[in-house]
This record gives sequence, C-alpha cells and structure tokens, in this order.
Amino acid sequence: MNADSIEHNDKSTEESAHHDDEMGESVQEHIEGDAHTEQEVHGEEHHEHTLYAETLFNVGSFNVTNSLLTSWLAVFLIIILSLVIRAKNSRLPSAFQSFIETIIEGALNMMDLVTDDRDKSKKVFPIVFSIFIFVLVNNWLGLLPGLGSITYNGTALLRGGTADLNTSLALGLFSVISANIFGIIVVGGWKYFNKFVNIKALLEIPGKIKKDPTIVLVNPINFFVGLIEIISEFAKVASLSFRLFGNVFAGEVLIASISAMMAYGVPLPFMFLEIIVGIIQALIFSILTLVYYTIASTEHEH
Amino acid sequence: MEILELFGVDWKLMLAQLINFAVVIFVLWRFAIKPLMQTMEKRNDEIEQGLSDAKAAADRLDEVEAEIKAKLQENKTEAIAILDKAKKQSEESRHANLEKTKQEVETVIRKAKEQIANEKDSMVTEVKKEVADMVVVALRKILSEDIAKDIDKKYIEKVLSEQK
Repeated sequence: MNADSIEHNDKSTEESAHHDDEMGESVQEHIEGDAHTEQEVHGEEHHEHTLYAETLFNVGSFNVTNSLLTSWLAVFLIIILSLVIRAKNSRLPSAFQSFIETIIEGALNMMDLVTDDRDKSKKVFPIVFSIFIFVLVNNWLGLLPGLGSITYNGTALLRGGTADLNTSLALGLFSVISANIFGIIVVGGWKYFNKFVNIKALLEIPGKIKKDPTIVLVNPINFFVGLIEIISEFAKVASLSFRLFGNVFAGEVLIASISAMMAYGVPLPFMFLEIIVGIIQALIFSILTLVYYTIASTEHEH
Repeated sequence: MEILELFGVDWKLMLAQLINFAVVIFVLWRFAIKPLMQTMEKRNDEIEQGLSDAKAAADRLDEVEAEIKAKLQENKTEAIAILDKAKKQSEESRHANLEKTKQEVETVIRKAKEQIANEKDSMVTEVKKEVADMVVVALRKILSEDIAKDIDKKYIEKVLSEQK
C-alpha cells in the first residue's frame, strides 16, 4: 500500500536513521518469523495496519501497545461519562438524563425479549451493558479521523482497542466464563455439571429401561451431546473474539485503504458504515453474551 | 498456538484489558446504572403512588359532591317547610291581630256611643232645667211679680215633663 503522501516522504527520510535503531531493537524483541519482521519493517515505514497491536514502550516486561492506550482512553471517557451521569442524577430528569434513561429502558426491554424475565434482565444488565459500552467506545475511538497519523517512535500512537485480539479475546473469555459461573450459581453445581458431562442420563438407563427401551440409544447420545457442549463453549470464545476483532480491524483497514486511494470525501460513506458496524458489533457482542447467560441459567430440558 | 502469536496475543495484555473492563463494569454500575435505576424505580413508584392518590382524591371528591348535593336537597326541603310554617304562622297571627283590633274598635265605638248617649241625656235634663228656669223668669216678668210663685213653677214643670 502506497499510503504515504508526498509530504510525508521528507519526514520519513529524516527519521529513517532514527527508525533504524528502533527497528533493531524491536526485531530482537519479537522472536517471530522472517516474514513477520519484514511485515513490521514495512509497517513502520508506511504506518501500515498490522494484524497485532504494536508496542509503544515497555514497562518492565509489560508491553504497552497502542490498542491498550486507546482502551485506557476509553475507560477514562467512560469514567467521565459515569461521573457526569451521577452528578446529573435527579428526581426530575434533565434532557441528558432522559436520554440516558431512555437508553437504559430500551436496553432492558430488549433484554427482556431474550431472557423473558425482568428480574434476570436486571441481574445481568450491568455486565451486558458494560460490555456494550466498552466495546462501542473502543470501536468508535478507532474510527477517530487521523488517529493513525499521530505516531510515536514510528508506530501509530492510538489504535482501536477492539482492533487487537487481546481485547476481544479477553472480553470473549470473560463473557463465556462468567456466563458459566452465573449458570452454576443459578442452576446449581451438579445440574450444571450434567449439562456437559451427562452422568445423570447414563444413570437413568437401568431405572427406565423397562418402561422405555429406546432410552438405551437416546441417553448415550445425550451424553455425547453434552461433551460436544464443552467444545461449543470454546467455540463461543473463538467466535465472539474473532468476530469482533475481524470486523473492527477490517473496518480500519478498509478506511485506511480508501483514504490512501482518495483522501477527500470518498472515505466519508465508509466512515458512516464503520460507525454503524461499531454499534452493531457492540450490540452483537453484548446480546450474544446475554444469550449465553440466559442459556447457562436455564435448566436443561429433556 | 502459532495463530495466537500471529495475532500478538499476550496474556499480560489480556489481563490489562480485563482489568480495564472490570474498571468499566465497576464504574458504570456503581456511578451510573445503579443510582440511575434507583432514581427511575423511585420515580415509577412515586408516579404510581401519585396516580392512585389522584384516583382516591377524585373518588373522594365525587363522594363529597354527592354528600353536598344530598345535604343541599335536605336543606331545601327543610327551608321550604320552615317557610311554609312561617307563612302559616304569620297568617294566623295577622288574622288574630285583625280580630283583636276589630274587637277593640268595636268596644271603642260602643263606649263612645254610650258616652254620647249619656252626655245627651244629661244635656237634655240640664237644658230642661234651664229652660224651666228661664220660662219661670219670663212668666214672672210677664205676669207681674209674685202671684202665687210656687204654684206657677209647679205647674210649668208639670207641663214640661208632660211634653217630654
């Protein structure tokens, strides 16, 4: 991608000497394949989008990446938003508060469609809503125009938080693991365990075999279905995290490519598209989390 | 796990993002969602309370209105009764007064008549007496003086009383 404009060229030649030093370090740090380092070299020259978030600096052995920095910014913004909401909270709502309340009401009503139970919706609401807000803010921060052009040591200073698999994977793991914990709390440990390792189904066979001989066939199948459920839990993590990461990352690459072709006007519709994608992906992530919570908290029906 | 390396997965970064998310959950829940939902719930309760209060008030108003109407009706009939009674009473008293006045007038008239009659009687007797005296004096003058004084007088009186 010939993303660099002509104005940029003198700058990059100026800085190239400086870059070389940095490159040496980073190449040593990333013990990765040759192709990978080549890609990195390429990326540093053109601020190209790499599949992984780039390291800005290290604190001990901890790599602070540009995505992490953006996430911190997102957290900061959310904290400010929360504090504003708390400060404006009053019995007679202001326009701002009405707006927030409308969102909360709408979200709860939407959740009722999935859970069919207001109490359950209210219980899960903080987690699901937080996921939605966190993902949404991260998605949108990645879209800020010119975000990639602010560089620090040759790498973009900010990169969408969710355009890093670490973020989406962490969220996906959290979503699925917490859904399982929620299921154990609501349904009970033994029952929940039988969802996956269906010992109950096997134990039932001798008792019911006279009444219903097909149980010899059905219950072992149920047992294996339970085992498959275990795999599906891992699939859930993968699908959640890769879907979010893929969409957001693809969006950023798309906008970067379009901007490289024609920087004025043309990327605009794609920006709108990505804004919508940002909402939709946040919505999908949170609703799927809600679905997992709901499935986990309903008893297995035979 | 080469694929994870390709995507730059780093458990430390994941942990950092998890912490970020935990902060988000805590802050959103503690400072935004919880107080806001409490406010909303409270307001819903208040609105419900207000609506039920308003309904109770409206019911009570209807009740009171009905009561007032009933009372007004009662008062009206009572007032009419009182008015009727008063009319009757006044009529009666007027009648009685009239009667009394009539009687009084009658007695006054009677008394006056009596008095007039009495006075007439006494006047007649006095006039008689005076006329008799005058006649006597006149006769005396006419019939020269002192001829059977007593007889004449007695005679005149007799004549006068016969005339009467």
